[in-house]
Amino acid sequence: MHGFFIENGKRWLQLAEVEIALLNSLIGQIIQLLDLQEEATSDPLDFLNDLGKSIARPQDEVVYRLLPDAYGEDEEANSEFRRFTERSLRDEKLIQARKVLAGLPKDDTAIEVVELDFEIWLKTLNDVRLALGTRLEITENMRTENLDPEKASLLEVYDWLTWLQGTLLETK
Amino acid sequence: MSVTPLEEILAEAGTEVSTPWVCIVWDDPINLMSYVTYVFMTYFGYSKGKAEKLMMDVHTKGKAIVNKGTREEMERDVSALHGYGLMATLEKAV
Repeated sequence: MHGFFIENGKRWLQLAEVEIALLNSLIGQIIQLLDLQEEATSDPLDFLNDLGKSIARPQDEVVYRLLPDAYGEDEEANSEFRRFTERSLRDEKLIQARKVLAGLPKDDTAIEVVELDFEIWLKTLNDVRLALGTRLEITENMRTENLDPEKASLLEVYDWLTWLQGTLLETK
Repeated sequence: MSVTPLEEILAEAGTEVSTPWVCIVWDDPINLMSYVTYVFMTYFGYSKGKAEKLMMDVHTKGKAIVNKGTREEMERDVSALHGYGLMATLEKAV
């Protein structure tokens, strides 16, 4: 059995090694996208200055999809909301992604996924799908024929993630 | 000494307190229908029936109001829904 499943009253995850490597790389990319470490300076009180600064809408469409606006067209309210909430949303997503990354199976034997980790897995898999789906410009009725080979293989990965998230939801 | 009439105080307080805000979830092509239903049930504590109806509204009408309340409450909801990866906004109820 593959993906997430219930056996003996417990939730398990079993993946092929190639799938583990794939998740490892995809989750790593999410962390890279969201992590602000590189921009941070050494001053530990910098966050105080950050609180007073307005934060612009993320330029990258993928980052924007993960950290979207809250007020639609109202730019002033969007910026204000972002100023107070974006950092914690970023941190929440990063903490979850790092936790999932650290808990990935090491090989193709099934590992138990405890109830406490259910949402962390669910949200992180969703973030990875959002990121990939946004890059692929997924639409409701996307035409899948005549895609260039790179896009076609990314779409295969996306469909696999959809399947994996589906198996997790079915264990609830 | 001038005293503000009680009606004025109440009227002013009324506009602040009772002006409802709404939290709206928008359709997107990525989030799974079963996932959106799960989020509505888990975060809002809605029944499966209500959660599924709201999810279908989002899917077929493009958006749905998923909660009403004060601006602060709706900001909290929007934040939480962004945590789940849903496209959520808040606005003043019309």
